[in-house]
Amino acid sequence: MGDLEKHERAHREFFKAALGNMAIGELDVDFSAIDFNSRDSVLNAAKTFEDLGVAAYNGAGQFIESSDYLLIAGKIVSVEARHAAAIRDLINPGSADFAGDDLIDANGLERTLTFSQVLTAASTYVTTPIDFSQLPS
Amino acid sequence: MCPDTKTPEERDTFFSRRDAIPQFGDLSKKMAMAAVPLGILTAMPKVAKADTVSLIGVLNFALTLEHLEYRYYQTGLYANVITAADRLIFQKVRDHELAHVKFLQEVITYVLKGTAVAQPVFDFTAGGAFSPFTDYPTFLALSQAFEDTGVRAYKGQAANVKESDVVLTAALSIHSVEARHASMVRRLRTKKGLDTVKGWITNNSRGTLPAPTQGIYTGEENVSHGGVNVISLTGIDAGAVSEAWDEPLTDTQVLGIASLFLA
Repeated sequence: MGDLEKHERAHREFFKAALGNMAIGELDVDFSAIDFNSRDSVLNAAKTFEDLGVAAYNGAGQFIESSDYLLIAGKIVSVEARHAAAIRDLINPGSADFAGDDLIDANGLERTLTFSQVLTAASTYVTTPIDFSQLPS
Repeated sequence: MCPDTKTPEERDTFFSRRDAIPQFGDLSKKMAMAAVPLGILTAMPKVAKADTVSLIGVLNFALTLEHLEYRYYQTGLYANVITAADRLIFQKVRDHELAHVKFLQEVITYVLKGTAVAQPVFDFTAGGAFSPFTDYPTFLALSQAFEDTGVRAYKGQAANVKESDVVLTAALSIHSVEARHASMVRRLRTKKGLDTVKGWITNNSRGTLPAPTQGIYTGEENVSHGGVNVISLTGIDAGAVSEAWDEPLTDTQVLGIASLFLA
């Protein structure tokens, strides 16, 4: 988990630097639904976030116009998928959950989510209102 | 970005299922087509012939790798080199690779109207250097090599397919599955004491993988993205920063690695 924290912090700081004054401000989080004294609760929240991240990047890719930015997003999404697999392996060790049928269809394709779906899912944990009306639907 | 495809004129140019299946009564083709979601076929916008040719090339490159992976896992399962406890992991991976083969074949053949590359003949011993189907640690090592290569290979092609939203999204959706595979196999090798790797790649380390696989990991030590040195930016250690981004490989680099395993 220490590794995950460092990676996500690196990503966050990178995006803040890359976006400059176009970056979204700090968000207030609500983790009240997570019991930080429970390994299961923490791991399940981690799984939710990592799986969501992968689906978000996969869904967003087609809207990135610059090849350079698409590559940067591509470099990150595979790490999120590695994270997600690791968390799922921690939750149910040695099982096939790392790449479960709940996420991957009969063509072997992982699910994608729209901006709206992702931000709605994330809003459970974020109290700061996020305006995504300008994003493609 | 692809043009809006919602005009009636453009709808007429979409590939319908009926058009896509030359012999509608052929059951095996119907079953194959069932795996391709209708949305893929109807969402395919009019793509200029030259663009289609280059998309076909990229997808045939991906298909070559998927053939390699599928054949590797299928052979491994059949050879019984995998321990009983781990079989369901590799059955899942094999199932995904087979699904990828079929999906790519269908998109190339029925959507892009191209010719899907035939399955190459593989030599997973690399001319006798390895015994993956009798030695489980070797099987796991090559599995890791193939999965980590696959991640870098798809990543290297994303910009080449971005003219088609549908193909790009499909490629991204396969790419993340390969990354999950890679993470799981790496963790499995560490759990068994064969290596000390994590689900993610640290610096350019191949760990205990044999020297010929170094090309799969060279470049992964990169810590600068979009002109930003992330170590300077964050103070986070080089190893962790290197882990947080995976790197692309070109098709030439990938085929160089894959050629070790072509008969």
